[in-house]
Amino acid sequence: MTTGARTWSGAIGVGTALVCSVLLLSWATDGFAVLTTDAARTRRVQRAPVTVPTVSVRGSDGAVHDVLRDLPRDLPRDLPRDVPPDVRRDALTDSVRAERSSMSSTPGLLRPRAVIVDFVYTRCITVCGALGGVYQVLQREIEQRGLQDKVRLLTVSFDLEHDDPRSLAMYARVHRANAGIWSLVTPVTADARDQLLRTFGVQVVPDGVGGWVHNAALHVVDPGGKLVRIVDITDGETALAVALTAWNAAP
Amino acid sequence: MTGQRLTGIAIALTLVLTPVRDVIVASMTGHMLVQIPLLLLAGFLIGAPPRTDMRRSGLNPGGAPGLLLTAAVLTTWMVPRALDLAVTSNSIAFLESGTLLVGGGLLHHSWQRAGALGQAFFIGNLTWMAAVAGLLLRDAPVRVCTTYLIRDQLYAGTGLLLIATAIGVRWFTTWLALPTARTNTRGDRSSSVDAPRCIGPTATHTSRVERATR
Repeated sequence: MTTGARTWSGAIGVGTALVCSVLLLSWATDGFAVLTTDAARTRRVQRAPVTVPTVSVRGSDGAVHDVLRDLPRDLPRDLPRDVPPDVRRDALTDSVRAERSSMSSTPGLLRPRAVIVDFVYTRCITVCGALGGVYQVLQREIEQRGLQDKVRLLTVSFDLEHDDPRSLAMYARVHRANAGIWSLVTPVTADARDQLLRTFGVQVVPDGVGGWVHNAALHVVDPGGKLVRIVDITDGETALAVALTAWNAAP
Repeated sequence: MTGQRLTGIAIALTLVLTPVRDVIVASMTGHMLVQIPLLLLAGFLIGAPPRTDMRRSGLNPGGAPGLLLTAAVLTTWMVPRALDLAVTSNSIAFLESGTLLVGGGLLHHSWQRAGALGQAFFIGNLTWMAAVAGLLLRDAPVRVCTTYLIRDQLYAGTGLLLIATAIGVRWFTTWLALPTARTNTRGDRSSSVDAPRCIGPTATHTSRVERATR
């Protein structure tokens, strides 16, 4: 092989190795921006909001509905309690429609709210307890600043086996959840749960002693049902601010 | 086909296609300190594919491109996000195995021709980086991998720190002990048989490589 050819092939070798190295590292770090999965999902969501899938959940009152359905506000207060759930839902839809049309003179009153979503399992004694505390503070903030028509709180449990409506209601009582602001739900099927966890980027790992460990965060969903921001669990203030901005920006 | 190559293939198949992988990868320590090094070793044992003519093609002058790419592969699989993805996605798991096997093969092809200086650069960089990564893992107040527990992170960090330090110290003490290593740093053309061979191939193989390059 001539010296010239050797130099050329050497240059090609070096160039290929450089390009491959940069590509590989850039892929792993999402363009040299992040090192962790959490940082990557936070960044991605902020750049391109993700639509929350339509999945069925069961609330702490036992009713089954779509995960983002704003049930506390949909339910007219005078609806008879003994009506079967199915009929109730139909009646509900009608009543909401009637209510909406009657309120057309005061636009914006029944606009969908922004939602701050978190994921827990009620037996959890570590980070979920902290989340409950953060939500309590957020709820008080929402009440005091009169934001209950703009922002609500939603706690989703991923423990299908244990977290039935009773456990959820217990968790709600312990944390003094105001049903008009803070609702608690459990996905109806494992499929629904996995779909939600995937969308929100939550990874649940068994902790080896019967519980789970998960990457907890506050997830802000805009009134249009899109996950727009993921905030650290200690930063309720930012979550609320982002939720308000999302509500104001919604049509 | 040599026994060495067969061993490499056997290790690779076990680590890629059998449930052994799931068992090892279930812990961060197993993933970082067993799975990844073993895959690299398997690639090293398999070496370059038999019929390629890379040795004479001149694509790997001084072993530099090969060592660079190997270092990049090892760095990539120290990134917590990459580890998470390799656990949660099958295709990324294959990417991980593939890149590490190729990295091992490249290491095989590059090690002797890199010469003492290139080897020192490679070992120095990687062990330093791995040790720092180990320290960071040990000190991190939160989990850096969403798929692993914090206790596991402490073990993996400690192990990484110890192994990196051990390799670094072992290699450099050998290097400093060899008078030829300090004077002979050209590697590719000159004989690098005297260079330290902590993880290097055998002398017989070296002479074969040397003969082929000439």
